[in-house]
Amino acid sequence: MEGLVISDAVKDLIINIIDIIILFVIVRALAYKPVKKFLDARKERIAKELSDAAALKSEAEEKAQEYGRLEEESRAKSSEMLSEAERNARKAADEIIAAAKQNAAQIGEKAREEAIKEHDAQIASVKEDITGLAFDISKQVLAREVTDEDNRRIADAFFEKYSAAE
Amino acid sequence: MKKVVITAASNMSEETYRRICDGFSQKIGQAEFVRVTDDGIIGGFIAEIDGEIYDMSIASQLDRMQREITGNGGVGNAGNTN
Amino acid sequence: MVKTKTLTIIEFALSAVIFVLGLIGCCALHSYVKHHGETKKLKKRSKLLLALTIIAAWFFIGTAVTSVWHGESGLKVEFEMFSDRVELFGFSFAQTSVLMWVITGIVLVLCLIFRLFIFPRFDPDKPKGFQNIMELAVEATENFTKGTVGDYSGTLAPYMFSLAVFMIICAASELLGFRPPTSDLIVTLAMGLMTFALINYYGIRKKGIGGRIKSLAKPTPVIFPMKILSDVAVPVSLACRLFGNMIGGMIVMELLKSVLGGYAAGIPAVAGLYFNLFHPLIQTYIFVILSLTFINEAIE
Repeated sequence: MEGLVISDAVKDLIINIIDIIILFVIVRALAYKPVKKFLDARKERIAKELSDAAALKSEAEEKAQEYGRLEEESRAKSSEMLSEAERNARKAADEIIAAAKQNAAQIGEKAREEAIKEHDAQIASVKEDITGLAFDISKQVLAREVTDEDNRRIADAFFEKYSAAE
Repeated sequence: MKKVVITAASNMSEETYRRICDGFSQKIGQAEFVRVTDDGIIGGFIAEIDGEIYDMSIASQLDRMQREITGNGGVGNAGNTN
Repeated sequence: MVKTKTLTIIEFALSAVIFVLGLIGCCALHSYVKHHGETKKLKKRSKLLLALTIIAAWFFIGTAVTSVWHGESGLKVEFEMFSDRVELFGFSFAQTSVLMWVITGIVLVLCLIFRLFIFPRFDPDKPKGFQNIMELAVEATENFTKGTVGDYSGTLAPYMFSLAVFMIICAASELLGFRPPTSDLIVTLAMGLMTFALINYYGIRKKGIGGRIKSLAKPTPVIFPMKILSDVAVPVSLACRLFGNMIGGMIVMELLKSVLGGYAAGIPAVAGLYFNLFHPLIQTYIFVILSLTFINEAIE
């Protein structure tokens, strides 16, 4: 082999090793590390986003639960209030109904009385009309039939009473 | 002298009228008698002596009867409420 | 092969004619296709014509070169095991060493360009193009190293990465005609020694000096000398493997060129695609895998 000198070879070896090391440092610092940091940052970001999303989800679930509870509570309370209001309303309604019934009864009574009164009045009126008619007829008949003798008798009767009264 | 007004129907004769007047004269003495004819009283007579009225007319008796039957005055009924 | 002048001239003329005819035919076919569209038969025929023309061209150039420039063909190839030396600053360096430093310089420049110009434009969410390649490469190396070694992949991954970059650029330089640094035994020996250093470094770090030596004594102390031998053989084998493969490729290329003589138009290029590109890449992969495996073995 021509040209191989041990010292040269060793020198070359050392130079090469140094070269490799320098190469390594350059590539790692300028190319590898930045990209790796980049990728790690992205992974972290994704993980954080996922954990954030998970936290958000759990928070949302918690909130939903709480809302559910509140809703239950409010529903219970509202139904309670509702029943009380209902009771009150019912009581008032009953009272009103009783009063109305009483009122109606009174009115009915009054109406009945009025009706009776009216009925009586009508009967009386009819009776009056009938009797009036009867008496008119009687008067007309009597006007025809009454004689002077009747007059005389009346006069005599009067004077008898008259003189008895004194 | 007292004034007496006798109201009678036309079916009363003069005789009966004289009888009435005499009857009154016996009771109250001298009086002036006036006769009013009213057929509306139908029969009998109404005598008014110085404001005092003695009603022996048939019409009045009938009215009295009518009033008794109907229980109330014919006049003054409240109108029918129909 | 002895040629008479007449034969040469006939060869020359014939090849020229065929080549020119083929060229004209190709152009005609091309315009025909443009006007009338292609059919299967037409495609086959056009491909045939193209192949014929290329062969004719090659032959023509070959004859021309041989006859005009007297390109020699022979079956004897000369090469030096160690590359030529170059005089610089009063010291003699190997040509390959110089090339290696040149490569380092190129890498430095490229990395600077990457760091200062390309990297800031990296899109954090949607990688594309060159960014994608870089990301893939780095991630592949990471996973690879982690898979094989596991614990100390923090520094090892970048080292293997830089080694791979180096070897790829060496392959590229071979394409350009230079004698690549990887075909110099001293260079490959340097790489092998680095791996050896790494093996022992991590072995000692993990187990302590005593532990490292003890592991050589497993399972039985009898095999202690054999273990030492095999440990020494590791870097030597790595170096020689790489060196042999690279220089073998170089020899084959040289042989091809010299055999074809003047006709070496185009064929070495096609062959070079394999020997100067694919083959070195395989060797890179093997070198990296073996290094990592041995380091892993030392750590276990």
